[in-house]
Amino acid sequence: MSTALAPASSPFAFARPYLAFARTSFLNLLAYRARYFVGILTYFFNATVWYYIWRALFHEKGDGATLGGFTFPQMLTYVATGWALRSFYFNEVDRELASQVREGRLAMTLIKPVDIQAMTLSQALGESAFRLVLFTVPIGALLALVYPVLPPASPAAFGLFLLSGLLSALLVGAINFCVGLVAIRTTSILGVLRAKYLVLELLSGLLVPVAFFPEPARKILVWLPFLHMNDTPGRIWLGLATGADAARALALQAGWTVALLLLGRVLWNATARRIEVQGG
Amino acid sequence: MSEPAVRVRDLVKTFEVTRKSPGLAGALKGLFRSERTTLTAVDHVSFDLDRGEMVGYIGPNGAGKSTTIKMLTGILTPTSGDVTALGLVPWRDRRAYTKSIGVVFGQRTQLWWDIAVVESFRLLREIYGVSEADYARRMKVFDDLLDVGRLLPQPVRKLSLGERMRCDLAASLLHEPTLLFLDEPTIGLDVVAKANVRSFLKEANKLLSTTVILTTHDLDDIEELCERVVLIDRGQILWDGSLRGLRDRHLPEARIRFDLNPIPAGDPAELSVGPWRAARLSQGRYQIVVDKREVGTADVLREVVRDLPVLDLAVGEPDIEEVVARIYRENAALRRPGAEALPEGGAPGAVAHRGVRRG
Amino acid sequence: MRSLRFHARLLALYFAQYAKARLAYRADFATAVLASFLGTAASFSVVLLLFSRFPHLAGWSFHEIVFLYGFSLLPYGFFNVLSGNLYEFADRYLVEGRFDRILLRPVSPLFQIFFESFRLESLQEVLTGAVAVAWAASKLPGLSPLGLALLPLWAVFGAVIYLSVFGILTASSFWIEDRVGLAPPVFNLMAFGRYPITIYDLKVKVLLSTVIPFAFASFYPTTLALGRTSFAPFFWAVPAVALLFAFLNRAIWRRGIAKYGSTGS
Repeated sequence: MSTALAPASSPFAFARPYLAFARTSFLNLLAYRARYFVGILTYFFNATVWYYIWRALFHEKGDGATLGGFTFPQMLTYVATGWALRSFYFNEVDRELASQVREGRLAMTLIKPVDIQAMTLSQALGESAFRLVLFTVPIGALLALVYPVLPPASPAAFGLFLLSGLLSALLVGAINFCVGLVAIRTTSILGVLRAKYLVLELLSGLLVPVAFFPEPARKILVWLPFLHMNDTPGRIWLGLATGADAARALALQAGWTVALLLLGRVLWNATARRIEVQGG
Repeated sequence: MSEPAVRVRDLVKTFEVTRKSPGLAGALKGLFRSERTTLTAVDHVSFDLDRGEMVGYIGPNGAGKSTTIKMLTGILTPTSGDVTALGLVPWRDRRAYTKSIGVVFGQRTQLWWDIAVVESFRLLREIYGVSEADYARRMKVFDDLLDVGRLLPQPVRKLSLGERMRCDLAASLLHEPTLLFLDEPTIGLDVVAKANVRSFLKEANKLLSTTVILTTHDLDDIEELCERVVLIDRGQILWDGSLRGLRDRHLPEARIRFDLNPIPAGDPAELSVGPWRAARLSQGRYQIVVDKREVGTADVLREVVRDLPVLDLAVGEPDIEEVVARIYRENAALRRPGAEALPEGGAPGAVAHRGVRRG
Repeated sequence: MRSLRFHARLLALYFAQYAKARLAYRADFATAVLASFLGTAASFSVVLLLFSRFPHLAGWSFHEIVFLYGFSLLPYGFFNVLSGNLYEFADRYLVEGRFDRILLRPVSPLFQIFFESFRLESLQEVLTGAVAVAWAASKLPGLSPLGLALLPLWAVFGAVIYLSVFGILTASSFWIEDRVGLAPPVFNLMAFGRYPITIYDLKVKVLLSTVIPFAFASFYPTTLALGRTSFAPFFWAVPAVALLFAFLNRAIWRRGIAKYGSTGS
């Protein structure tokens, strides 16, 4: 019960409706058992493709070689943490927003006494909390069991990785909220969202670490928010970003999250005005 | 006589439903197993439809109406029982059968949402293999009767509900089906649109001698269109016959309503008129409910006019909504465990009729 | 054969209607094409980023890899053009109840599901793939002319394989109560087939050639053109695999429809 978490009289009373939303999305997800088991396998398969691709590439280079500053075990670990992270931060906030618009439910949401961005974000975090337990941990364990994944570089690195991972989830929630609001202006929403996945998988460093990009692209990428989805936590785990480096990366990650939340707010205000004028 | 268009015998449909346990623990449990219970939606239903007949199939929500229709149209396979329609078994010979039936769902259009109405018609023409000549001739008829001509260039999503229904009706008749199923064809329509749809159905039924089965919540549809109604509740047929017969059997009442002048002293809540009692409706206005099985309405009228200073007077019958509502209530009471037996002849819960078997 | 002509005419009509409706909103269609192209460009970039650094990958040259990847876009593009409805089948047809209407028309239900809606913008993938194949082919000497000539036909078989596998997965919605179905997760697995199968070990090779036969859709069809004669049996098995899965798909849909008939969901 949400009341147990935040009694009405508590200073957290304002959070009650959001907790209820988080809980609802959690329950909805649990209902989909088939997708659950297939979902786990899919993450495993995806990491597996990349295991083989990297193995072949490192094999070309000769054993013990480094590519883009990674040894093979490091690269493999980067892949494993990458897919495990994706299983954590993944949400369909944008698709949900889009279907609300398509079914004309957004106008109804407008009249509820809640902040839509906070509601959407709590849904995303509720989903992530659920995914952590049911996807991320089992997938991580499975990958570590099957492939020679490296442990975190140090206890500190692990702590920072957790922090960075949490920020990833917030960041992706913020990004998807913006993407959803942009996508609903087209009628090919699903096409736009599908393109988003492919583009973000490239720009987040999930598939290829930033070191592999040509110099000019790299310079641009480090000033974009997307690497903070995957590359930042991945490098922290491996100990490739420590001390001041890690702190700087985390600060940038947090900064981007705040910036994108603000952008989402601006976009939402524009959308709400449009809906009030045209109907949702 | 000729073979009936549709012959339904002992039709039964049961569903397995999954019970979801509430709460988080329930959802976790549901991840691995779920509980199932059986629900009987249609329970030994039998009837015949003659060619050219227009029959109303009515009942409250969840009574089994649409499940029956889905079996008759071949969408659902029954658990047991037989249906022969136009010499075919709907669910087994579905593809062939669909060529000679038309189906209109009031809530869902059969037209393609994004394209112009006329394009939908062209697709349907191709699908049903209607010749150019037939197509042109029928479209002319639809334009005359339904005024669809001016709607043709518009995409379906831009049509009003009434306009859409007119197009849907035309679409369902484009291949001149011998059997037409209408599921809530007037739902959500305004008064004028309803009248249009009804007069078209009457016309089409006469013109094409199509057999029509109509489910509806709006009993005015039935009153205007159907000689015969089949009433179903909780999966069983409670009545199969004329609307008048239904009324006479279940609510054989007449209501005599009269205004008095002068108003009787003390403005009493009840007046005695011979052996009958008149209940006060408003100041100076009273009503006597006559049980037609006991006494003729005219006898009561005579006494009212003789005994009281009647200024104005009207005789009415319960409307069909009321009759049906009462039947549902009685049927519900009958099935409630521990319910007292109803007085004989008083309120028949389920009427055996036309060889209908009671479960 | 009358049925074939009937279905061909109907398909042409469905396509014309859909295209007309789609092109009525030109700006929107342009957005969709652009988005689709961005997606293709992103996943192509991954290949270019990785393999342009190496002259060879497990014995495959960079241009061969581009050839392979470019070809994989052909069946993938055809599949995407036709799969728009598959992806939303559970939602739009089963939950919203549109499947009843499908059953009420005297046309094969599967035909209606596949051809009632198209994702036109995915033709872009076919085009991009063809350009990539042509470019790579110009850099590769000694390609087999027969192998090249058969590529378009084999791309169609590849599309049949994708459609059948996803048709089967979509049909699972008849049995599994899940609005989304099994298709989206497996969608990602198409990536497997885009690289030379020799980089995987036996388990993966077997998986890609049996249960989820994506290697037959995108890898094996290129082997004749690229002169990899050791894969010849697999190359020639492509049409048979496509037919096999098409039949399997049809059989499972039949059962699914029967199941729908008995439960109404």
